[in-house]
Amino acid sequence: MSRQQWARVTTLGRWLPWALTALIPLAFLAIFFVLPVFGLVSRGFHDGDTWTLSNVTAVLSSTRTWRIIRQTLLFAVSGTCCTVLLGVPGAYVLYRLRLPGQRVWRVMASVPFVLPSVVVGVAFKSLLAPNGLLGFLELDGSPVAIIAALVFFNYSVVVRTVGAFWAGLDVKQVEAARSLGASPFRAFTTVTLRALTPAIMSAAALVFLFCASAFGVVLVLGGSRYGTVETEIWYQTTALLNLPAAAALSIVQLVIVVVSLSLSNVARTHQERALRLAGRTTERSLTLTDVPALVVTVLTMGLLLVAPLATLLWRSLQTRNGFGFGNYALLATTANGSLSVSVWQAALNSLLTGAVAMLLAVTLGAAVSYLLSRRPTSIWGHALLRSLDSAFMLPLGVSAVTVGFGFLITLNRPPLDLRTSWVLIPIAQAIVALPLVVRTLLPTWRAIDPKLWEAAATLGATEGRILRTIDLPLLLRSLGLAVGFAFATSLGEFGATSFLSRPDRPTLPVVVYKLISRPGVDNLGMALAAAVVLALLTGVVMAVAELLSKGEESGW
Amino acid sequence: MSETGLSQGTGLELRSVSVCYGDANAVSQVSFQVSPGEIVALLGASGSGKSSLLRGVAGLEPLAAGQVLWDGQDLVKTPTHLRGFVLMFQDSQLFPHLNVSGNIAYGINRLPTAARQARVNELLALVGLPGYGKRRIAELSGGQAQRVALARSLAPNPRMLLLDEPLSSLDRGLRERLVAELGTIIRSSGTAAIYVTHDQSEAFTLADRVGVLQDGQLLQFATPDELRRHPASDYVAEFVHA
Repeated sequence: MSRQQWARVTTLGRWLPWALTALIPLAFLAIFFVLPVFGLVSRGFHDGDTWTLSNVTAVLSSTRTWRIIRQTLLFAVSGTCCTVLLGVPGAYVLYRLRLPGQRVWRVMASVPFVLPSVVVGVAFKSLLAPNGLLGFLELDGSPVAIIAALVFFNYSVVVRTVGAFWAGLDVKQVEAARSLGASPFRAFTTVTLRALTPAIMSAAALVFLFCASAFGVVLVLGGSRYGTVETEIWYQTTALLNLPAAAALSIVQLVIVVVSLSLSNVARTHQERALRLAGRTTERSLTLTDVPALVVTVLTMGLLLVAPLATLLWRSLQTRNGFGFGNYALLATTANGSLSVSVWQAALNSLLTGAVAMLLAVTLGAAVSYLLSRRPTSIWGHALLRSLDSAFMLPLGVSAVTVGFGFLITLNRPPLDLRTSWVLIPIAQAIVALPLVVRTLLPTWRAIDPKLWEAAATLGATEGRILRTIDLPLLLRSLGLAVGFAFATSLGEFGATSFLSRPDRPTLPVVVYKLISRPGVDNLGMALAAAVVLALLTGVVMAVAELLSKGEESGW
Repeated sequence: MSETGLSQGTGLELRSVSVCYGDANAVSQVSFQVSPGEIVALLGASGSGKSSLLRGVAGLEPLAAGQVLWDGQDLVKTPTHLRGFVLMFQDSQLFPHLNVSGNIAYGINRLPTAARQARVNELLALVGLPGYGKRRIAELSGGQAQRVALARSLAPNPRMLLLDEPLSSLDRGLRERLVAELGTIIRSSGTAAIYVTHDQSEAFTLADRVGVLQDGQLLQFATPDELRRHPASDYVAEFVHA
């Protein structure tokens, strides 16, 4: 090594990369999230000339609003409770027991989360329709259908969060309790359940958030009778053109979101603290006491996860001329002119915007995760990182509808007139996917022992080389997953896209919704076939991401 | 053998070094020197501040006060990766995604491939693990992992080797065998070293001079012989004869 290498580097050289890593994602968040949301909120308090509370009071004094708020909370609370009650046994079965085909089961359970909301809505509709498999239950258009669809979506959130934590729980704790004379039940309630509580709470808060801001499924399944604040914002904007009312409703939504997000934040920090204590892990083989959990899980996965999708596929193959691929052949048409482009063209649009959104979300998400994974020694640095952490989680809760609507009313004048630009859609989708990318990368990044960085630094590696040679290889799997998540959610994103999509370049979810809301056998058949295509695209994206990230790392 | 090991300079000098964690003073006002090629042991109970001091020298902890000098030049503002002090950890901290060769070659990535491979083989032989280059890290035993960690630390010909209780995670028999071997390897490389330990027999076997630390204070800094014969305080006497 040459003597020059020991030379000092300037302070600027050390701080500039850090500052850029922080500033670029922050600027993006400020322009494409804070600005639109702020613009929307201020629109709710402003009637064009002066600041006023009249919009908000008008909305809050209408009985319709309170009915919608009641329904939103009802869906969110019952959706969350059912998901947790079904998901915890699922987490046990999929992460704690040794079962044949364990990997397949786990992938199966996690597929619904990335499925486009429109697809899920259409799938449940076809399952519960009078001529569907479960048509005799007469649940079509009922709140139960909506809650079942919400459980379908969020089941994997609970299973993954609780399961991953459960798998890492040290069995010695339970063994210690048993050896002290505790029955299996007492050991479970006093040791295991206690340890799992933060993970369950964290998952529940997240599920509540997703349920409270559900849009696509409610729009498809609720019809005109049932709605949430989200669908109401959409209805007020697109059907009644009542922007002040929609803005006021967005404020209501924001309050619900901020409250549940701060609850989830509290639970999450507890969980990460606890995770560091995790020790030896073991999967055990099946015993008689596992039968109830196994039955619940098999029933849930069969009736709730597999049945809707199987029905969707089955019914997409039924045409007016009998069984066949007729509906898929129609995808090359514009449904007798009711669509502006063919469904295949819309699928291509979706892939293009999804790819751009994915690139944006992963780049920014990686930068944010890098910052948040550092462990600053100073109290100030610590506080700064904590607030950054919360800031980048905000889009998770602030509804996609609010983001899309906000874009529409704020990014429409110079210097940023993007209303007519197609980049608006991938940007909105990236904002929605960003928290997901961060949540996928960050736990792995935080799990890397800082001593590995220190070892590399004392061996002469610069910050950049450490990032390339230590962090990147260890993160590869999570990075692949983040790419998959970002691409898949962008493909299926409906809330923000439904505001921003332009007639000549619709995306696939927008087309599916258009088709399902039109009468006619052919339209329904095309909608089902298009939903299958969308589900397949999403599934392929996730599978490819899983495969690409699984490669065995070589030596050097 | 090593360019830096044969340096004619004055080596390392610590002047009134203090390290703090928040309000707690982990190390206060410690001064001593390490000559080129010398091995110094820092001996102390857990919590005495010896590891914090080592991290301060490596640049991994900022100093609350004092100076760390190499050949008279202050290094306080030099970032860790430019100091040329390699730290070897208690729990090896080998990079799990690289194999044994990849780990040893990590600090000599600028050498041409052939020279790098030759150096890796030379070090594998030095630490008694010839032919282990292709092994995965997960396949190594605790003792083997520490040998690889030592090889990785020596590969770039560091100006100084900082060892943080490198043997304390091993069982007693292995530890006693390795400590003598470690001394021989470090001496044959000619590298100056600071060896942190809580075990007085390790310190006395390896070191030319030993510093005894208590509550962040350096109680005495002397040769093993002198420490045994003229301990500066009852605490030192008790610790040395434990």
